[in-house]
Amino acid sequence: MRQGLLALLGLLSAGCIDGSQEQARITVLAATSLTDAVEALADSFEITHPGYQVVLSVASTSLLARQIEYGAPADVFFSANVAWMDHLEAQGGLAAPARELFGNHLVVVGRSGMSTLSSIHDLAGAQRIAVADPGHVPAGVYAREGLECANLWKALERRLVPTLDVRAALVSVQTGAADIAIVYASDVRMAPAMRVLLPWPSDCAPDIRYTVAPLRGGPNPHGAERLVAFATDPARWGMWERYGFAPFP
Amino acid sequence: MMLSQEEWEAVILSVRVALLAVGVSLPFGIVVAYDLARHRRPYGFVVENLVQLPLVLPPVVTGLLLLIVLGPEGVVGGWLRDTFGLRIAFTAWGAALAAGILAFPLLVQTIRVAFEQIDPEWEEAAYVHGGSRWTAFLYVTLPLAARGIAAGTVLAFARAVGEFGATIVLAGNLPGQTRTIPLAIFTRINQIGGDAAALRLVVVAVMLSMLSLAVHAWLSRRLHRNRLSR
Repeated sequence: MRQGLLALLGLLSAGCIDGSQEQARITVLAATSLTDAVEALADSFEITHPGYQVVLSVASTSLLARQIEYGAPADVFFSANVAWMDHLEAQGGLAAPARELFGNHLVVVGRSGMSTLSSIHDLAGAQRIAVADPGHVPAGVYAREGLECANLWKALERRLVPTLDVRAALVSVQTGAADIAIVYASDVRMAPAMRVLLPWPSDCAPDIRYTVAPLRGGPNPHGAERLVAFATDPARWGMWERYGFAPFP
Repeated sequence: MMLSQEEWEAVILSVRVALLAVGVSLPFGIVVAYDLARHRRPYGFVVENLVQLPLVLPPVVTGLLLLIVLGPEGVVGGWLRDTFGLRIAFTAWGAALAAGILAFPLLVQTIRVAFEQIDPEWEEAAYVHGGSRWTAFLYVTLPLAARGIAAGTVLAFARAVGEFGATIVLAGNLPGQTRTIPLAIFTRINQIGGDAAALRLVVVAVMLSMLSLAVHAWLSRRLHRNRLSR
């Protein structure tokens, strides 16, 4: 009976808890807003670099940065927030300085039938504004920066509906839980039922940059270097644009 | 309803992780539950409090505490890696550990109730007939509590399958290693066009949970009926 139990445990742990990993595996941590784009990037990297296998773990930028701080055995980090990348660099967590991938900007969106806004101050007309949690999710932090700059934060704070992440903000407008949402331009381009009501005014636009860096102490430093070079290659710009991100000129 | 290969991977991984979590924690759960049921120890309330803590603590907090202690840079995590070459954080072991700890209160509570319902006189009768404490426990107490132990195991399994917060913090979201059903759903809802895949997994999650609860209810009812007929 005891042996049976041990055999069962062995069976359960086989495979999924196999410590040996092939040399060519590259473990990538990526911000959730990059899920689609980095999956496509990984696919084309695997095709052009046979023998490499990219494993992608997605969560919010802040959680991933914490995990890296606590020693996550990962090779490459795609961050949606410059501050977190700077923080990791200061901690000595990066194997090489972070490289810029592209920028993004904020927009106000609603359902496709709604009429556009003429100024940022028209936001005062909305009852419920969905936004990624301004406390810690980068999209929400940027929205807060943008609203504070326009002197609207205090007036609108109570009408904000904080969501788990930026995609959830979009969904809450789609389902009618909120009237409008403040999200990344990239997210709207992927959602046909939504309409941009107002691009964020440029005089109050927060500095939104996505960066990528190889991580110190990752299991596959050579693969990390190659993937970062591949991601930042201007030949990828068309691909990033397909997913709604605007690369730097 | 057809699941893709990736979705099957998440379902099978979830079941394996949950079985591993419950399998490893069951012996500890039985010991702790028996001790809480039978002995009034001076610091028993401290043990009880610690055991119940994961039930009410936000899972993210549990995950963060585990990451700090068991992460590659953590005191215990570093020692385990250097001594046994065992990695907990960001592996399926971590997913199983997170699920096991989150499910432990349900396991202990259910088994404890089963032990409490056994009249100590049955054990005393075993002593009178020359049994040691161990043989009395093995041949009298354990069989009488078997159904309660099974019910607790099933309930803990159901909780382990659904674990999300502590898992994503401690074990990450690695496909095939730690991306269990809840994490796979989280990943899919973050993808435009991922709704269909997310919904398929939601259906699986609901079916697994309902099945577990049905088995649990069936075991509990049998337990109750046995007691009445005795």
